[in-house]
Amino acid sequence: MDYVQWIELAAASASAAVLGSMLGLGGGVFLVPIFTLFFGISTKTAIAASAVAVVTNSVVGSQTHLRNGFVNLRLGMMLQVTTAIGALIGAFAGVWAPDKALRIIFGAVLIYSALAMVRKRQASYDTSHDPDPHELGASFKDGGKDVKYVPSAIRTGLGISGTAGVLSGMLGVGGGVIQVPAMNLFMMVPLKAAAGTSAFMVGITSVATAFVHYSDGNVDPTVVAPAMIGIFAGGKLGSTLTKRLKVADLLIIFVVIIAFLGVSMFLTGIGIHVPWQR
Amino acid sequence: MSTPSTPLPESTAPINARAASVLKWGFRISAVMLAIGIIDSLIRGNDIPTNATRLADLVPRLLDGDGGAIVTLSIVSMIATPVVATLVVALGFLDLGDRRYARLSFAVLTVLIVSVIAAFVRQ
Repeated sequence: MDYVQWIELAAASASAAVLGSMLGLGGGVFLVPIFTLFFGISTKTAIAASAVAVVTNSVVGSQTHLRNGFVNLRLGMMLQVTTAIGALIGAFAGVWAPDKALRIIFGAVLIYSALAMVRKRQASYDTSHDPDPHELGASFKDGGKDVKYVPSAIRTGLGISGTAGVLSGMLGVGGGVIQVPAMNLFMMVPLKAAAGTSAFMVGITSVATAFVHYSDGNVDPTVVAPAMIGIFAGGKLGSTLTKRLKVADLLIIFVVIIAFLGVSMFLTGIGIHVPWQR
Repeated sequence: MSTPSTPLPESTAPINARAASVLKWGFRISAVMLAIGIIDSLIRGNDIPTNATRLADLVPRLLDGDGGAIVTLSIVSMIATPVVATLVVALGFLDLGDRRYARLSFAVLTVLIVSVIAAFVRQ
């Protein structure tokens, strides 16, 4: 057993989990490029490990969201129908796709994510009087206040969720980077409920990816096990740090990291060797 | 006079609590098995294999006390945890008498089961 690599993989996964939980993401967007660029792990093995790590992060992280009422189960299950179908299609496409194509797509998604974070804004609406034909309305306590909301634009949400599912299945990421802004900006769901619902959903979404890659022999326990250990530690640390640090101040650093990883993945995908590639 | 707000559907708080319990126990079981698998491999001086144990070989290898198979079981049980949580949510909606969301939850569960079956068939 290569103990040094285990420690390095666990530390990298813990860092991804810390960053991911601070940003309300699953952490998968960091793991695949870190594994492929800095550890020389094949893209498909990295995607498989990332999918298991995203499930782990969701299982660890969404318990609190569920108990706090931030997870809207009706909304989650409705959106999950198209997300899960998309993920299953994406997972099979990912297994068959060439390594370089996956790197190019991943690079493009990371660059998009970086740009989306730069433009990130939090929308707040009063939807408590809106009609609720799908019975998706819910409420949660926020700072002693009862926040009541009724999600809207369900068809748009279902379409975006299906796309997020395909990308998630193909690339081993949770899809939170697409789901959270979609729920908040288009469906008018308060950010806390959007992040909580997405945290629960990404675990279900990544099941298909993980099982399809497991069946294809891409799950490497020497990568997945240290990643899981890192996620166990990082997920808890991230939620503690989130309470103490001003995430907005760190946003620019995260954008730089994601843009750097995205450009690196894209360049290696089109056959350009980057000096830090192992 | 302000317009009364839209009445909310029945709260899913009991289902949320049940789903959270499933996740908690799924995490605990997976973490314990991961620790046992790693410790077993260390004690026996075996390397953890770079390929997860195939589902068909999992039970015989577990009966042999193979640490690598225990690590694979930990990974599989972690991946299976959201599937069980989805089943619990679907049953919770049935208990609540919310047939629409029970059906949607079972539809999600069906897609997940299809992915698991696809995994078995491909192996």
